[in-house]
Amino acid sequence: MLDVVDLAYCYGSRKAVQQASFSIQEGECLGLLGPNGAGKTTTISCIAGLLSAWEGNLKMNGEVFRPAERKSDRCKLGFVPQDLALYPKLTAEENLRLFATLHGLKRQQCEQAVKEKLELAGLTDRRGDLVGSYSGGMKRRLNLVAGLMHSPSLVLLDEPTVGVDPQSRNHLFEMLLRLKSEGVALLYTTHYMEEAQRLCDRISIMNEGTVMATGTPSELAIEAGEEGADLEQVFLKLTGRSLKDV
Amino acid sequence: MDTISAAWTLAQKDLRSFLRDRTALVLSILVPIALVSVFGWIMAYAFGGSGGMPKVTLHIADFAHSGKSQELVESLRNDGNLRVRVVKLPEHRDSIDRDAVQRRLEKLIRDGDANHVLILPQDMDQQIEAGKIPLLNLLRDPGRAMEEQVIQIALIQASLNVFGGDFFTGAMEQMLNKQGMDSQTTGLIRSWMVNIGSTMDAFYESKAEDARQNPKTRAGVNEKDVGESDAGDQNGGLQGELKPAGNRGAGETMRGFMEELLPVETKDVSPPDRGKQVTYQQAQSVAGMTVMMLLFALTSCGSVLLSEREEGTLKRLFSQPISWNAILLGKFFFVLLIGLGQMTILFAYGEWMFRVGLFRDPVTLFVLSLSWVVTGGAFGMFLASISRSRKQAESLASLLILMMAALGGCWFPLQMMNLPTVLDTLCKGTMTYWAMTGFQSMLWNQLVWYDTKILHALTWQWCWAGGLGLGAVIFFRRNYCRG
Repeated sequence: MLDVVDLAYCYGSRKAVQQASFSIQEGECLGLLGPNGAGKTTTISCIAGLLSAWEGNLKMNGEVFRPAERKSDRCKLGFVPQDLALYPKLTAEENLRLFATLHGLKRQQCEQAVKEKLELAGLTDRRGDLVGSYSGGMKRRLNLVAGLMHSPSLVLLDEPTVGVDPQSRNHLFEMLLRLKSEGVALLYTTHYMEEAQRLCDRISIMNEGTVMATGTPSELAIEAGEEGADLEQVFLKLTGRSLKDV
Repeated sequence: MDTISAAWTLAQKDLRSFLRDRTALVLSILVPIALVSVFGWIMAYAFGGSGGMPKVTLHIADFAHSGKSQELVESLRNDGNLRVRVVKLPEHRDSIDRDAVQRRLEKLIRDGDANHVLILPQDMDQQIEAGKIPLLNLLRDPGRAMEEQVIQIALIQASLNVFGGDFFTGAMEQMLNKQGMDSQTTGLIRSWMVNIGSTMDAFYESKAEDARQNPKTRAGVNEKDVGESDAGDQNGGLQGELKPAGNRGAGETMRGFMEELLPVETKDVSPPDRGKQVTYQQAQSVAGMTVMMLLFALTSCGSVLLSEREEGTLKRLFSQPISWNAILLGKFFFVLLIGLGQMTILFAYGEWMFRVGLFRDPVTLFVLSLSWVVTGGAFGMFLASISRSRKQAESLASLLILMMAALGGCWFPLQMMNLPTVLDTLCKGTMTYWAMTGFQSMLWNQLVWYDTKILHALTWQWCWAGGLGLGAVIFFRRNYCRG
C-alpha cells in the first residue's frame, strides 16, 4: 500500500531522518519504534504532508504520493497527532463534524460518520459535552476518531496512547484492531514495547534518523543475534544502552 | 524551608525564566520607553502653546487687503495662542463674486477643513477713516466653542493694537447708540472715558517707573501679574492697561465686557444633519475609542492562529485536504465578523448614550466600519503571523496600538496641535489617522462615503490593509507552513 524509499529530512543542518525505507500493506500495522529524537515524528510528519522539503520517494499503491502538495493525497490518509488536537470549547460532536466537513463529507454522510465514530470511541453519551470537560482518556479516544472521519485507508498514529489509563488504552487498542480487521493500514509510533508487541504485525526500529531493522519481533531478534529475546532486549541491542536524547 | 526562603527561591526562578525570554525582556523595556516618548511628544505639542494651551487655527479671508487689514492679520499672527492661515482670494478684489467666496468659506467649515473663518470686509479702511469701528464677520463651527473663546481674546488684543485706544471708546459709543442712547450723551461718555484712560495710563506709567527704580516696593503688583504684564507688552503693550495689577476680578469683568463690545458678526455654519447636542469632544471620543478598542479586539482575535499552533490543532488542520490559504482566510473571516459585531454594539451604545447621529447615514457608517475592520483585521493577522507566541503578539500589539492611537488622534484631536512637519507626516502615516479622519468626517462634518475626503481616507486604509495582508500571507507561509 505505502512504500517509503530513502526518506530524508533535515532541520537546518541537523539530519533528522536519513535514508529511511519501509513499507506497509493493507490491513497491516507497522510499528515505528525508537528512542526519543530517533526521527519517528519527523517521518510521520513527512508522510502526513506537514513537512514538504523532504527527499526520497513515497508511493501509495504504486503511485507517487505527495501529500504536502496534493489535497487528494491527503484525503487518503488519517492523521492522529501526539498532541490532543481538539477544540476544547466545542463539543465532541462539533469537533468531529468540523473535521468531517473539512474532508468534504456531505451533510448526511457527515452525520452518519459522527454517529459511528462517537460509538467507536464510546462517547455517544457525552457527545454534547464540551471537550474541555473530558478526562484525558476520553480526549485521547476522541483525538483518535477525529482522524478517521473520512474512513482513510492509511492511518498515521503518533504515540496515541500517551498519558492514558489502562482501560482507555485497552479501548484504543480494540479500536485499532477493529480498523486493522477492516483492512486499514496503520503506521504507529510508540515507546512502549508491549504496545508494539500486542498491536503491530511488523516493527521498524529507528535510531538517529535511520531505520536499523524491520520485521516481526522474532525476525528482529534473529537479526540482532539474540534469538528468543524479548522486544525490549532486541531494541536495546540495536539502539544501544546510552541515553539518546542528550 | 521557611516561607521567606521558599518565596525567594521561587522569585529567583521566575526572574531567571523572565531574563531568558529575550523578547519579553526587550518588550518590557521597550514598551514603556516607547509609550512615554510618544505620549510625551504628543502632549508637548498638544499643550505646548503659550499658557499651556494648544494653538487654535483661525482662517482669515482678507477682502480689504489694505495696510490696516494686513496689520490686523499680522497682529493675530503674532498671538501666541493662534495659528493664522490666510485664505487665498483673487487678486482683483473688486471683481470678486462675494457670494461664491462666502459659499466656499462656509464649505471649508462644513467639511471640517476650518473651524473659524474671520472675514475682513472690503470697506474696512473706509469705516476706520469715518471714525467707526469696522464690523468683522466670523464664520464659526458652533461645536468648537472652546477655541472661539481663544479667538475672541486674541481679536480684542489685535483690535486694540491696530485700532488703538479709540477702539474701546468707539466700540462703547457704538454699542450705547445701538441701544438707544442719544449721540450727544454717548459723545460725552466717550470724552470722559478718554480722560479716564489718560489718567490710568499716567498712573500705571508712574507705578512702572517706581518699580523700575525700586523693585522691592512694587506694592500691589505680584510676580505673576508682572509676568503677564510683560507678556502683554510683547504682544503690543496694552495688556497692563486693561488688567490693573492686583485687581484680577475687575480685569476679568473688563474682558467679558470687551468681548460683548467686539464688533464681530458671527454666523454659525454646521452640517444641517448634525445633532444639536453633539459636541466635537463627544464625536472625537466615540470615534477615537471605537477605532482604538477595535484594534485591540481584532489583534486578540488574530492571535487565535497562535493558539492553534500552541495547542497543536493547526497541525491537524494542515493534514486536512484544505489549502493553507483557506486556514488564513478562515481566521480573517472570523476576525471580520467579530469586528463588525463589536463595532455595531459599540456604535449602538454610543448612539443610545450620546446621540451623536451615528446611524444618520448607515451606508457611510457601514463602508467606514467595514474598511476599518478589514484594515484592523489585516493588522491582527500580520501580528499573529510574525509573532512566535501569544504573549509576544499581545506585547507587540499593546505597543503598536497605543502608539498609533496617540499619533492617529484617537486620544487628542490632532487639529488642535502645533505639530512640526516630521511629526505631522508621522501621524498621517498611521492607519488610525485615516480611520479617525473617516469617522470624524462622517460624524462631525456629515460627509457621505463618496466625498473625496472620505474616499481619500478609505484609500489610505485600503493601502494599509493590502500591505498588512500581503505581509501576513508571506510571514504565515514562512513561519507556519510546511517546511
